[in-house]
Formats: sequence, C-alpha cells, structure tokens
Amino acid sequence: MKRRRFLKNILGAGTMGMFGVSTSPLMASAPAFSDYKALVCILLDGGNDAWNTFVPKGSSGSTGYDKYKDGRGDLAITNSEVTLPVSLSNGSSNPYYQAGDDIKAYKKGYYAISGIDQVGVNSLMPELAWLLRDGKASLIGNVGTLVEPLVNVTDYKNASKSKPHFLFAHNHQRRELFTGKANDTNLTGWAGRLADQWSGLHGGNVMGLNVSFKGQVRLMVGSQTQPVLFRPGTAATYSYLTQKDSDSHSESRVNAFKKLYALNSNSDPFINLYNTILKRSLDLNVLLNQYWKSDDQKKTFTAKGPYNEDLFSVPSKSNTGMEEELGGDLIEQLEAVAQLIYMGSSADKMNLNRQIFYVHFGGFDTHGNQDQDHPILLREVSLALYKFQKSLEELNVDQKVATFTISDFGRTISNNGDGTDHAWSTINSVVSNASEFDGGKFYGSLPDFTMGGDDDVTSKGRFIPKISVDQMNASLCSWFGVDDSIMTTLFPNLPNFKTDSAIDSAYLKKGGTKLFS
Amino acid sequence: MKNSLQVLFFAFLILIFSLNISSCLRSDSSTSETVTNTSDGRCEFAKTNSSQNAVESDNQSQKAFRLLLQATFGPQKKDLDRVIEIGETSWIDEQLQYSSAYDAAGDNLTTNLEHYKIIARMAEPSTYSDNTSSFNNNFHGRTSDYQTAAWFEKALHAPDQLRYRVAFALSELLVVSGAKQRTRFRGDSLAYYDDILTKNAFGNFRDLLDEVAKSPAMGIFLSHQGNKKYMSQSKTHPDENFAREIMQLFSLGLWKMNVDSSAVKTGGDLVPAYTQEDVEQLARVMTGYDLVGNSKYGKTHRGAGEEWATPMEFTGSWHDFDNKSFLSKSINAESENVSSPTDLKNALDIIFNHQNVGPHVAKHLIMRMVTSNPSAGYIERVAQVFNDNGSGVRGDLKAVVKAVLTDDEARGNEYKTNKNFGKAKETLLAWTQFLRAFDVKPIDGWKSRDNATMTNTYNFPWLESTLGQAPLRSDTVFNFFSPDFVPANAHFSESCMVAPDLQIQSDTILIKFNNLISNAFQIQEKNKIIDKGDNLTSFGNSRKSNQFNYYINVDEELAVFEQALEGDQNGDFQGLSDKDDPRKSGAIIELLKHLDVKLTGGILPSAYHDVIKEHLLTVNWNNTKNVSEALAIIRDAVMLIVSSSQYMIQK
Repeated sequence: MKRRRFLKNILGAGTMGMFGVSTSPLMASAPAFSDYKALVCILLDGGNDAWNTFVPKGSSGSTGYDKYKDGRGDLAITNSEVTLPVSLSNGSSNPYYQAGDDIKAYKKGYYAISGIDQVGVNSLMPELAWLLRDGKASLIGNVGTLVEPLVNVTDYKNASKSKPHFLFAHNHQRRELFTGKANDTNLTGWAGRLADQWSGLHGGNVMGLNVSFKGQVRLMVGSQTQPVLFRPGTAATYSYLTQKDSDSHSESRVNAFKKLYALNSNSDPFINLYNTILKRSLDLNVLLNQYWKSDDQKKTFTAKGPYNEDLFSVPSKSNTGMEEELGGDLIEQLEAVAQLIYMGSSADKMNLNRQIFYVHFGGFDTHGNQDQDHPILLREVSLALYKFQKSLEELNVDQKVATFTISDFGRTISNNGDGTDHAWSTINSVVSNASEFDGGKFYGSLPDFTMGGDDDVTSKGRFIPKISVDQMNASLCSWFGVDDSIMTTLFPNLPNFKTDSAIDSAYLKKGGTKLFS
Repeated sequence: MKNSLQVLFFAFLILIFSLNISSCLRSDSSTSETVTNTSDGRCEFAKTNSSQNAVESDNQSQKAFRLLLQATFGPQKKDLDRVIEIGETSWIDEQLQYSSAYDAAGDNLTTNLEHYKIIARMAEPSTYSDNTSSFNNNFHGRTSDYQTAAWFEKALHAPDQLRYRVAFALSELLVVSGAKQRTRFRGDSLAYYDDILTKNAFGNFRDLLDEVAKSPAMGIFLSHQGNKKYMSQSKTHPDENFAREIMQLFSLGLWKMNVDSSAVKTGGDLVPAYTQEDVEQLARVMTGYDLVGNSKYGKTHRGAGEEWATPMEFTGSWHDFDNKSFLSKSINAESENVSSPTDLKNALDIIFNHQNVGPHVAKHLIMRMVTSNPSAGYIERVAQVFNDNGSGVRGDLKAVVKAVLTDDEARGNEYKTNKNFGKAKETLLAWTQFLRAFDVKPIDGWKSRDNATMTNTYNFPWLESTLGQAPLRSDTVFNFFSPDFVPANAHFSESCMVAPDLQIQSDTILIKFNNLISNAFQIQEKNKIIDKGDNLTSFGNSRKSNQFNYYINVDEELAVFEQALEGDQNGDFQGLSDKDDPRKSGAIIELLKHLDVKLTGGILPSAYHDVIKEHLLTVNWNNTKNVSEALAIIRDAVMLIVSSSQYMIQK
C-alpha cells in the first residue's frame, strides 16, 4: 500500500513536471484502441452443478459415466444420447420433452457434440449444443480457483503448496474469482485493476470500462475505478429533480444539488465519498437520458429466438413444454447488454472501444430440490446465450465479443438426498465468433470421479481442478487487448502456471492451439 | 446496580486506556488511520480511535439526536424530548426494560405473526372467514407483503424502537429471505422468523441460535428442512448448507479471532475457525428436522397442512445418532429411540462457546448501529460483555446492546476528532427516518388483492427493488452488502476502510431513492393531496395493492414557515403574494433552521443553508396559489437536505 502510494506520487509529480498540468494519479493509461471489443462475464451464482450440465459420457473407468453415476445415484442424467434437432418446435416437440415432467426432462440424456468426447450437453440445452456444434462455443473442463498447480490429493495435503483461501465457501470463492488471486480475498477486482491501468479510456466518459448488472461487484472495483451500475428494462432516471413541472424550476434545483455535493466538508472521507456518488448518479442520469431512456434510441432486433419468438422475449411454458415458467432474469440482462453494446460500439452513438459487462444469474446453490430447480436454470442459460449471440450477429459485432460463464465452484459428485453440496472443480463455457477463437472444443480434462480417489479432497467428491480460472480469464483478456506486460497485475498467480519463461505459456492451450490465437 | 458498576468499570478502563494512548502519540491523532494493513493484505482494526483533542461538545439536543440515529428507525421529537429529560444512559435502560409482546400472553401488544394474521384476515376475508382458519391454506407471493406491513408498523411506531432496531440488525446477521424464495409464498414463516429475532434481541444469543436452527424459514432458506442422514441405499449424505453458514456467517466467521476481532496467528498464518470436516459433522447433526404437518419427509408443497410458523419437528428415523467430532469436541452417540436428541444442543453449545462469537456479534452490531470502522478496543469492550455480562452470563444481548451504545466511541466526541468515524445510513433506515420525521401514517381505504378495503395497514410491496434492501429480502444469505466492502476511493482503499452500507448505494439506487422522496411530496403528502383538490378518503380509496400505501404531512413546516413569514398560521401565506416580499427571505431561513434540527440534529453546515436558501429564493415558482408555493418551497428544501451527504452519512 505504502509503496503504491509512493509510486503514484512519483508518477503524478512526473506528469505534472513534464506537461505542466495536474493529472489524476495514474499508473498507466489505456492503449490507443481504434476498434471495439467487449467481454461479457456471466456469474452462475451459487455454484452451478457442472456434472449435470455437461454429462461425463465417456467409458473410461475414472472419468467416465459409470463413476459419475456411482456418485450421483438418483440424481444422475441418463446415459442416453438425444438427437440434436436442427430447429425447435413448441411444447411436446421439444427434444428433451418427457410427458411435461421437468424432472424427467432434466434426466433424459444429452447431446453429443462432434469433436467433444468427454461430455454431452444436457438435453435441456439444445441452443448451447448448437453453439458448440457450430464452433461458436468451447468448454473449459476441470477449472477452478488455484494458486499453483495441484496434481492430486497428496499435493493438496502438502503444507508447502499454496491453496485457495476458504474453499467451498460461496462468498470467498466468488471473491477469488473476482480478485484474480485465489489466496487473497481482499484484493481489488481484476477488471477493476484493468480499469485502473487503462485510466483515461473513453476520455473520462462516465461509461468507463466496466458495467455491472449486480451492484458494486468486487470484480469491477479497482482502487480508483468502479463500475457503472445497470438494471434491465427502463433505466431509472431522476424524475422530479431534473424535470420541469408547473410549480418547479429544475435548472436552479439541479444547480443547488450540484453545489451541495461540491461542498468540501473538512475532508470527511464518508461525506466526500458520498459526494462523489451523488455526482456520478447525476452524470449517469445525463447519459441515460441521452442514450438509453427513450425507446427510439434502442435497437429493434429482427432476428428471432428458437421458437420464432421475438429475440429477447422469454419463451413461455407452451414454447418450452416445461412445468415451470422461466424466470427470465438472464435473458433480460443480456438484452440490456446487447443494447449497451449497440450504443457503445456504434460510431454515431457512444463510440467506445472496450467494455466489460458483469451479468448475474442466481439460484444455482442446489442443495435441495435440485431436480426441480436446476432444469429451469439450464434451460434459460441455453436460451439466453443463444439469443444474445443472435443479437450480436445482427449488430455485426459477434466477432468483437466474447461471453463466458463462471461459477462459485463446482458441486459434489455425491448426492445429499435431493441436491448436491459445495465442491471445487467445474466446467465453464466461452462463447464467441471471433476469428481468433478456437470454438467447438473441450479444453482441459475431467477429474477422476472416484469418491475418496486421487482428485477428491474429501470423501464426498470435491475435486481438485487442473486449470486455474485465472488462466481462462487471462486468455480472454489477452484477446481483449490486455498487454502481456500487465497480465500479472491482473492475475498475480498466473506465472505459477507457465510452461516456459513466457507469460503467454500460461494461457489456455489445447494441443498447440490457444483458446484465442 | 450490577450494570452501573459495570459501566463505571468500563469508563475507568477507557480512561486508563486513553491516557496511555495520549502519552504515546506524538501529535494530533485525527490523521491516524483507523485500520492498518497487515503483511498478508488483510485489514485489521487499529487498537483505538481515541484522541485527546479538545473539541467543543455537542449540545444536549445534538447528542440525543445522534443516539436516536444509532438506536431507532429515525429521531422523533417525543424521543428527543425523552432522551434530554432522562439522559442518554437512562433512555437506553428504559428502552431495554420496555414490556413487549414477548413477555406475557394476554396483553394488547402484538407480535409480528399476530399482526400478520390480522392483516391477512383483512386482506383476504373470504379465505380467513373466522378466527380459527388455518394460515397455511392460501399461499401466494403477496403474503410476504403482509410481513413487510407488520414490520413497518413496528419500525415506524413502536415505542420500544431499540428492540426492533436491534432485531433488524440481527436480521442482517442471521439472514433469511423472502426474495425469490419459497418463503415469499408463506409470509407467516417470515413474520414468525422476525419474532424470533425481535424476542431474542433482548434475550440470549444461545436461545437465538436454537430458535433460528429450528425455524421453518431458515430450514427452507438453507435447506436443512427434511435433511436426511447418510442413506446407504441411495448413497446420499446430509446437506451441508446450514451447517456451513451457521458457522461462517452467523457465529464464528472464517478465521480464529482474538477478543478484539484481530486474527489469531500461528507462525504468521491465519487459523481457520472451522474445517470442511466440521461442516460435514454438523451437517449430520442437522438431520431429522422437518415442517410440522409435512405430508412427505423432505418435500414441501407450501400449502395446506404444513406449519411454517412453528418450530420444525424431529423425526428420529432420518437422524444420524452416531457419535460426532465437532470443532475439536466430541458429541456422543445416542439411542435411536430418543425423541429429542441432545446432539443439536451440544453442537450449538460448542458453537456458542467458541471464542469468535463475542467479537463476531460485537463487530456486527457496532457496524450496523454506530460506525463502519470501529477500533479494536471498541470491539473488545463489547465482546467482553458478550463473554460475560458481569454476572457470569454469556451471550446476554441486552448487556451487549447497552455496551455498544454506551461505549465512549458511540457517546463521546470521537467522531469529531476522527474523520474516519461514522457510517453511511442504510437506504431502508434513511427511508424510515424520513417517514418518521414527517409523521407517517397508513392511508386507509386501499384495496387488497382480493379487493377488500384495508385500514390501518401499510403497504410496501417490492420495496427492495427501489431501495436495494427491505426487511428479510436479501438476495442471498450474505446479506444486502458485504461487511468488508471497500469502495473505489483512494482514502478508503489506502486506509483499508470499509463502507458496507454503500455497496448497494450508487447510481441507480440513489436516483430511485431521490424519486421515492419526491413522490412522497408530490403524491403522498396530506396538504399536497388537498391542494390538488382531493382528500385523504378518496385518495386512500383509489390506492391499490401494488402501490406504496402511506401518507406523510408537513403541517409543522407550514406552521413554522407561515409564522416566520407573517406572524400567523392561518394558512393564507399572503407573504408569498409578492415575490419580492422581503419577509420571504427570513421565513426561508427559519424553515431551514427547523428542517436542519429535524433531519440532521442541527449539524448542517451554514454553506448548505446558503445554497438551499439561494435556490428557494431565486426560483419563480409560477404558482397560482400561495399555499402551493409554500408546499413547493418545503418540498425542495427537504429534498435537497435528504439527498445530501449530510443526511445520508451518520457520524
């Protein structure tokens, strides 16, 4: 801390000396981008059960279906390949349909993807299967929080090996995904640090690098930067404060509001902090009224969803043939992201260069009622990813955007009676149509599913991941334009995963190919 | 007698301690950081915030106001008068001794659940046609609105404010939620849970743990309802959800702590408070509990027959009776024939007696009520009272609450010399303070979902989408915000300071809060309703069950303003007829003085008065009626104060 402050002072003084102007203390500034790119991070909050999402279907003894079934018991997906249709029809015509019973649909089987031998895609996710088939998505297997590689449970129990802090605890595992350092839950977020590094991006526009759909998420809080916060739907704007009506005078009132938050109050840190939040809210209000509030500013998508529904409308039970209606939360957020990407990427609108979006989809902590609650979540994830990708294609930015899922942790291979508990290794998805993207692949591996076996840190099937989530994020960041030289600022433990002296040897590879070339 | 001796003892300790500090520090401590960074990057609270700078003390009224911000849902005149009359400590004692609905049956005080039932009967008369109707036969998403309404009645009007304020703070420690949960459809489970918190707010933490563990709302929320022992046939093991969170969040925290909440270290390393093995062992204890009246063990249909407002019942055939090893202690095996096993009692005793619980609870209550970055000394003093109330009793929350509020850091001039002291208000508390300041009442006549006419009942549906929080509506068990949230601000990150309450307060929520306040004046203020040609009765009758139903009034402000304007209170505001009337300026000054005292306790800097006055004086209001202009002036003055940092930050 002290050291950083010292460095900042030096740099601050330096810039003042050279240019004779006072600039905000900054460590680096944004590269001169001339194009647009976006990363979209989707948190499946609660710890998605990857093993029922991507069903281990191999015949190998330790990583295959039989071991999976051994742990899962009644909660296992059936070892049965479901034919992936070329398109969907309503109700009972859906490929996963099983007499309208969601639990049966959940367990019906999986889609096999050519070129992916390890897992099949749960039959409730035909759209994600299409994306994988078409080379627009890849899976990252056996991934999780890691400080350094851990080969097996002996390694895990070796006191000299560094492990993530507080495995199996939701908030701290999420925190470590966000800090980019699995043995530090107090660090700022990696996207926040990138925004710090790229200070000056977009010329100080309130719409900086980071946009969060779930509050002040640690991922996006840096030491000097914070995300802009959004909710789907019509954005909240100041109603009375800034609007004229018969008995008011908005200009004077807004000026008074501005003068009040500009009053310095004896350098009281809480007061000063709150003043900056008040200022931001008003700045954002101006921006929202300019670009977001009115419908005629928004893109009307002509592409259709898989049931021929309007692209971002939430399919009903009669479409999906399921017992439960979809919640729609993820679809609505990705619709809003699509609109923001439209505004951000369009030269005649905000004309931004780089954006990271954080989207949050909850409900994955399936300790209980998993076979009732998980199906509806998987169905929505698949639909939402597909719809979002369609919108990007219509906006002609599908080559400029990479969408990826992360989750607190994977879940136990064992079953607690009506659900699964907190574990570690999981499977993430990356969706993109970038020309540099190696789609349609399964990166990584599967754990040895033996309970109490070489990969299990307890006796319940909590498996050690072999790929660090930082490696996956670094691959995405590299494509996004983050220079190798600052990659360890974002992911301090990344060098532990190098295979040679170059930092890029820690990026995800399959054979000799990188996830993003 | 014991209590006052204890206070004297602590006062003595504080004196010794602060004298000691003053001799160590070289200079003005106002720049000293509240918290320090340890080598592993973890923030720890400094030992003391105390400072010996001579500062001017607040007057009695300011001191009383500050206490009421910490201890109530918003200062009201009658509470202020009472504090000034009997003194701060006596007021705290009086609050702690108030009789409540939980003392004895048969009084006219209602519990949250009793009030919930009254509201449900009124809203759905055909469902609850007589007093014997079961409350479990009509579940739907709006039943949680009845719990919210019952909560607001107490928060806004209960004379024993402190009890409900502490219960609210506890609801952010032992979190259950009706947001996007099955409990939303059984508001009775939430009202009952709120009763557990409210009753034990002035009881013992051990009893609280016990009732929470057995409550249906928690059983559903953290999925130990219907939890089964290891089943060899299906190879299923017990659910670990509650077992983990009761330790991680409700009682112990992650790392082993000293009494002042600093981390215990072995060879420089932090020591985990519990292990995964402890979670698995406690999960075995938490088997065999399910809803009374459940048709099939482990399943729920939310409806008829299931009791969601009574402790879960125990069924031995699903329970693991074997011996367990938990937090380095043994829990012995028991016969499978016992109807009520002792392992839960033993396990909760082990948790309750862990050294972390005192500092964990102390820190939480201090941060919810007084300051975001308390000194380690403050935490230690309160934790010691948790460990022993002076009579050898551990977990006495009455004594703990008193220690939180009577501590020198809460009552002294600490906040004047230490700029890092204080906290942001939670949006929900900023809202209740506003409502209480303007004499809020439920509006009569609004229509329930069954089109029944509602009286004497508030309605705040989906409040969480406006404020980012609402009673028992956190998205997850991790509360609305994280206790270690560091905002993106150089001073906070470099001083390692937290501002949890601000994690949910930015951009959109600020805008929505501002709009909420403006709506209160434009739509739901009594004089404005009348000014628009309507009246309370017809306004009330027009309201629906998806709207916020309440009204406020600015009677006092109108009187103060007109009295200053023209020396009478006849309601004609003739001093506003001429926009250049010189009396207007003086009246605005008086109005702002009045609002300053009412909303901030009289601490609003003069520059604020000047800015607001300039706005109010220069605007041409274009009103055809003088009273309309008076209402507009009052509205703008209040809005500018309430949306300012001076209102939203509590020192």
